[in-house]
Amino acid sequence: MVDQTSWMERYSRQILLPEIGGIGQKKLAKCSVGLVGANSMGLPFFLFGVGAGIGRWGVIDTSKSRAKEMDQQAKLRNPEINVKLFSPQKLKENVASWVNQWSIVVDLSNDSTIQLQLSSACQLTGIPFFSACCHGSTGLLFQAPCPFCLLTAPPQPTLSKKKSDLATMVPGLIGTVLAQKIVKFLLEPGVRLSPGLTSFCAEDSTFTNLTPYMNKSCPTCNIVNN
Amino acid sequence: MKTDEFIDITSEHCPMTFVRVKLKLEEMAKGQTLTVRLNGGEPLKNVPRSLQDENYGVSEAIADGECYLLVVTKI
Repeated sequence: MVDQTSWMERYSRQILLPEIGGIGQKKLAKCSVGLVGANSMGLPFFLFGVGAGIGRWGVIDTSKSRAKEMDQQAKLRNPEINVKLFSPQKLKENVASWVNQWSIVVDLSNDSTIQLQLSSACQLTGIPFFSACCHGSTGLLFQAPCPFCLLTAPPQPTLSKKKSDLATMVPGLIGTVLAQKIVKFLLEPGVRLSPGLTSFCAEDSTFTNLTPYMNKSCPTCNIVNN
Repeated sequence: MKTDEFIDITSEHCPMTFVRVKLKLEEMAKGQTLTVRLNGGEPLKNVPRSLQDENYGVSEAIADGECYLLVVTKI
């Protein structure tokens, strides 16, 4: 049972905002996020999401210690939040049943194989899907239905797993922007997630918003439709 | 004047004064009225202004001993 006074004090700044208020704050507590990737993008995303009061989290990462650290950070910052850690094996067993238990799914793994798998499962189950990746001084944020509509050929997993010279602030910034995006999305009742792509360039600190169109040769959409 | 609901925020400090009033108003139906008992100074200056910013109807404050009373209408 959550103490009403401590709840009000914890979220007072958000309750004061006309776009959130007490109703929005209670709504966030009932929302859940399935997050893949407890990395330098995933950590700020998670901490801002936890701070905002999103009530239930499922975290998958190849590193057990990183996922555990996230859980500990969450408990320190906001003990009212429920975090459950999952092994990456979950995605191999039954990805559709895993994604189906969350309000939204977020992929920050920076791994195109996982991104494709989650994107397809989210399309099948109708769960809103967000993902982001970083390379060098560029960050990309995708929102459903499908980040792969932008590609002309299926992604090469080996390319995205290659170590890149990430500008250290870019993943943190992208994770933070994504947290803000999903809080806004979760608060808007009945809004269907429209396809979107936001690109950030650290060279000149600019954001560009694009609207991707459905691609007939998209690898994800082909899997879902066939 | 009798109102539908009453809240006393004289023991609260900013920003909890407005937070409590806002949460109370969110529970109420449109057209209902709320009497708010508040202290002079900062609360008397800030709470009515914040309520007006969020499009609530706010009456002139009436002195009530050392405190004040406001009548707020949920529009």
